[in-house]
Amino acid sequence: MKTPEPFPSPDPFPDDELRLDRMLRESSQTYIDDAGFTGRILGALPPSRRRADYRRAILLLGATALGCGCVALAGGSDLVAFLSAMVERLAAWSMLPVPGLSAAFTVGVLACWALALAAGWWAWMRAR
Amino acid sequence: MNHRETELIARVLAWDDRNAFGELVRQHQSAVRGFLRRLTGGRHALADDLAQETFIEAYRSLARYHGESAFASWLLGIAYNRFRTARRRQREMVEWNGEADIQGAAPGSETTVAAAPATVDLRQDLAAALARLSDDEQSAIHLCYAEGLTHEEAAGVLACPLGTVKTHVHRAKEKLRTYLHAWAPG
Repeated sequence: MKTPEPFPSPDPFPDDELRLDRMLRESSQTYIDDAGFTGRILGALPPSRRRADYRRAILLLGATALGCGCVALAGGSDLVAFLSAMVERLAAWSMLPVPGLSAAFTVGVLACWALALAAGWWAWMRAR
Repeated sequence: MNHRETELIARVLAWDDRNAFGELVRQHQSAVRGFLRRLTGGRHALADDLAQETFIEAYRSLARYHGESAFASWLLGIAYNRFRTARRRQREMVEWNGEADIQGAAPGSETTVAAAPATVDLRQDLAAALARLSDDEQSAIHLCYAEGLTHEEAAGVLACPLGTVKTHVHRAKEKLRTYLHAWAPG
């Protein structure tokens, strides 16, 4: 009569699993000192985005100032006359009377200047 | 991800705060460099180069991190990809065979946090046994034991199915039991 094979026994060394787990965890607990590594990383990063913001701010403010200066110089004493003539021409097309159109034009120009200055100021503050 | 990390990442994204990014690097440089040293067979210079590439890529792509996984896991995933890319370029990195500088660290550059109960010989044997595992098995063991990641987190880092990670861990431990049989008690 054939001897029946023994029933498969559970892991005869259950503690081996725990021992190996402990060995793996403990042998891996090694901290690597920074030793200047972080400094090298920061030195190797691409140029700061803040520099681009500074340039953008200077460009925006400078362009606004230059544009205003050019208009003032080009127009000179005739600037007011030029603007008045332009407003009258526009009034001929639009339904608005001349004074209303003048006011709207003035407000529009001032609003554009204010927006340009505000954008430049915001970019400057963001870059700081 | 803890609150401090969230704040640091937000500052880097909003203001390009280099100090904040430096703090993130300091917090995670040991884990990333340790992982890469394991993958490169103890080649510290190569591992540090890959670690540098990892952090620079992390800086460039920080806006794509949305907190789906722990920040450390995200970094380790980048590190693993950098390693795989470098290995494709340089096949000689695959040849471990006794070239691993297991004790190549400069004196004082590494600090053992917990005093291991095993002797130095056992640590060396364990390191040598780990070096005999495949890259995937070493990665899985390192992530799950040294970094304390769950199997799911390790699967995210290695970009492979959960079952694959479990298989790698199981096979690695079977091999290690065989390699370290001499250290078994009794």
